[in-house]
Amino acid sequence: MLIFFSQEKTDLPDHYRDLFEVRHFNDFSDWGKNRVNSSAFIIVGKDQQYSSSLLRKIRRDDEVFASLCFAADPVAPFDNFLLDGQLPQPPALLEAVNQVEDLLKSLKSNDTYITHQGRLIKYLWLRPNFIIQSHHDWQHPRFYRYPLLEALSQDGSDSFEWLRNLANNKIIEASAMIDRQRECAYCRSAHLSFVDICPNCLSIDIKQQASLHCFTCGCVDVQDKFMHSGTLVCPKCHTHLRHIGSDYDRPIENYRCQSCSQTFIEGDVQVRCAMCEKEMQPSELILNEIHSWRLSDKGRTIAFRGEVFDLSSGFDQLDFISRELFIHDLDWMMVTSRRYPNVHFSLFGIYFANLPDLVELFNHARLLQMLESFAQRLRSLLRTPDLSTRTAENMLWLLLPSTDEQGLSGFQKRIESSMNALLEESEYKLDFRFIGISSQNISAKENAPLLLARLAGELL
Amino acid sequence: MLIPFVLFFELPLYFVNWMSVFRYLFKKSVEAPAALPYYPRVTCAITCYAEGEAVKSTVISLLEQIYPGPIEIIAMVDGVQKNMATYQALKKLIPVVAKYSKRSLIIIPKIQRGGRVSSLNAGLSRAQGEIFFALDGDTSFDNQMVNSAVSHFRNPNIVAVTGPMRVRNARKTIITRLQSLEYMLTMQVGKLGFAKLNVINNIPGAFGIFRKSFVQKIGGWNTGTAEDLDLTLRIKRYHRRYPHLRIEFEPGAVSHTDVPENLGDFLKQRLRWDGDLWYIYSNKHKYGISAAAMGWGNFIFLLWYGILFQIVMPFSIVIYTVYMVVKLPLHTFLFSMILVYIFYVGLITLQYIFYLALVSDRKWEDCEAVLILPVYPLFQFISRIWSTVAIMNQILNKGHLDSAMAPFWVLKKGKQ
Repeated sequence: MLIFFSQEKTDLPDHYRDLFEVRHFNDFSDWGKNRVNSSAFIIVGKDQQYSSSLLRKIRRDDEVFASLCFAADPVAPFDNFLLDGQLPQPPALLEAVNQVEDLLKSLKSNDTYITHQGRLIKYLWLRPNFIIQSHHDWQHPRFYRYPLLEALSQDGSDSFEWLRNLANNKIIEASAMIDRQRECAYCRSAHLSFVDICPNCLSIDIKQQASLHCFTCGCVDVQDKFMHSGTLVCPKCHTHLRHIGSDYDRPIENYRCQSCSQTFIEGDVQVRCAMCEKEMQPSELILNEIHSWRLSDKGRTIAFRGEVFDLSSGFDQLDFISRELFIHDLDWMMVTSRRYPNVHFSLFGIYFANLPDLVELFNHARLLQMLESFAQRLRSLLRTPDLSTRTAENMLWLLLPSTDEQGLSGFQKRIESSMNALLEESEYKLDFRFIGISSQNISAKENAPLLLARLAGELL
Repeated sequence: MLIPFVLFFELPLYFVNWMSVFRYLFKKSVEAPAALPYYPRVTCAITCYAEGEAVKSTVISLLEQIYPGPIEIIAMVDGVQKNMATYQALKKLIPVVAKYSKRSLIIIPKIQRGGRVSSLNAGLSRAQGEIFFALDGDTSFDNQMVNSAVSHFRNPNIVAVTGPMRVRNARKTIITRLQSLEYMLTMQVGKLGFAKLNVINNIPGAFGIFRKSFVQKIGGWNTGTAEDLDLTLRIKRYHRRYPHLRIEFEPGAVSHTDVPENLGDFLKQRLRWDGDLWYIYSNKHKYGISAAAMGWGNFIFLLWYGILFQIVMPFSIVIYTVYMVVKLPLHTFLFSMILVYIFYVGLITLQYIFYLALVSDRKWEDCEAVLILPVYPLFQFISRIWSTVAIMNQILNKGHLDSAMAPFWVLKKGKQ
């Protein structure tokens, strides 16, 4: 079902009707009366104000904010960021609609999307590879705006603040740096002016003046005071200054304050904010980096799980520990086993070689379901004192105390059979590789980081 | 016995010169200076070679000129691959130039070394200014140099101007002090007097100021050594047909140059200079020295100063001295030499006093030269004797082909 908005009594061309059911509405409130379900909204009309207000209403709506929106006519530059583009030909439109519907199925439907953060995640989830772009607007206090964020945010909160929170939570990641600008420390405006001032009395009434330094009496003064009918004569000792380097030179103090008569090399710089009119030092300014953004892996995970999914969540009883702590413990085990020959341990690595490719290619929900069931099986294989860590998204390490070479091969067999059983159930070709080493085989020269690096290198 | 050559060669020359200087000084004191504004664009072309960092002071002294008009500085670095230090020093000045208004710096790196003449002609072809300053990379200038020199060119008959050259490193050694006194008496007094008679002997290569259109018309500088004397003589050859053309000397346009610091370098320099005189007079301008071309005034001056004073007199001094050593008893010879010495000390002292009182522009500084006065006649005597060596070297050895001013393959192409 296509909903198309137009003020005039026009209609979409017939070939759209061949593929879609089409309904026409005058405006958003007209449609809002019975809220017919739609695959995409299409705005027809040359009135940019009309399309602008419609777009905004769609993006602010609690239900249809993430719907596909196309315009048949050009819209204002700012509104382009809220559109999915110009109205494509029916086959392309159908493909886009199908893709969104497919993605919508894998989206975990819960209450997350009531919050504006959830709304953004849903919007980005439905548009793989979507980049949140900034719009340069010189009239805006910050110079840069994110039209999509402004439209999706219900309370009109600051886009930059919102982006910072999202980035801190690793839900989005920076795609490209657009600009780096300095902003007012008080109001964060980027409309700043820089003024040279006297370092002594802070007056702005300073002037660049060529000065001279007489070698005979040491007098330093502005050049004009030395000029005497086309020659240079020192105003103090009346020496005729003829040759630079032997009679006089130029001091480095080139500026002079008109109010306090101080001469100085370089003025101080003061910043004045054009918006809040506060004055500050350049060092006080806040540096703001303008990026374009995209949904991160974690963001995608939230999209179909409705919460933060982490492989570690499957390892709750195993204390999925930090990399640093793991390395520390491994080091300790290595030292211990060297000192006491009866102490054995094994290190086991699991590497999912094609996980990033599969994430790109397939339905996230299915893939993660499979990884989760793998995590469950793995959990059943581990004992309480076993330690695990993750050095990359697709690289797991297990530290198995009191496991010798024999124990390690037994462990590897069990985990392989478990994996194979899993693969038989699954449609995906998950490329997993194992590596294991027991303490007897570890060289005395190696330490934990070297060992991990060497084993990881063998897996690649 | 001693008196004739002194009388015939030197005294009248000094007398005429001083009379001319007195006349100039008198005129200057009674005439009101006419200072009408005339500030055309000028080009200062600096021929650079192995000066290194020293070239900076030349450029800075030009940037510092008190001149309201635009000054374009062109620095030609000859054989730039060998003289990278000079080139780098010039490049470091580019941001400094930006601080001065109406001043610009163009650096012309010449990869193939072509000598001074080639550098000057390269600068001439790039020059935008009406007035062309041909300057040396080891010479710096008073800040009124450009202004006082340019003021003469308001008169369309002036084709060239030069000014006093002072010794920058006078205090270094006794040799430089002696040369400093020599420059005061010959460069500051001698040239002033001769210029006012319109018979100036030479526009020095380190400090010559020309009307660009005129130099371009006569074809710029010519290959061969002593290109400065060559150009001066070529200008003089127009005197008969264009008697109003003048070469001026401006006492206010002061330049400061470095002179050789030890005797060896000094002799080497004079070997070239004095040898070049012979090369120019006997070779390049053999047929040019005629009253028909340069007018009677310049012809007589050239015969007198150029030929008799500079070429014949050194030989006669040598012959005379040898003659006295051989013919006279030792005590008579020594007595005669002491008499000559006393005569010259007196002559030099008189000139020096006149100079200090009337001409010197840095009286306190020039007072230091008083210490050197007793040695000066000896220095002059050695210089004269060395002149004969130089001239003989030129006649027998073709010394002009062995010059540091240009590579051999360039000098070879000059008139032999």
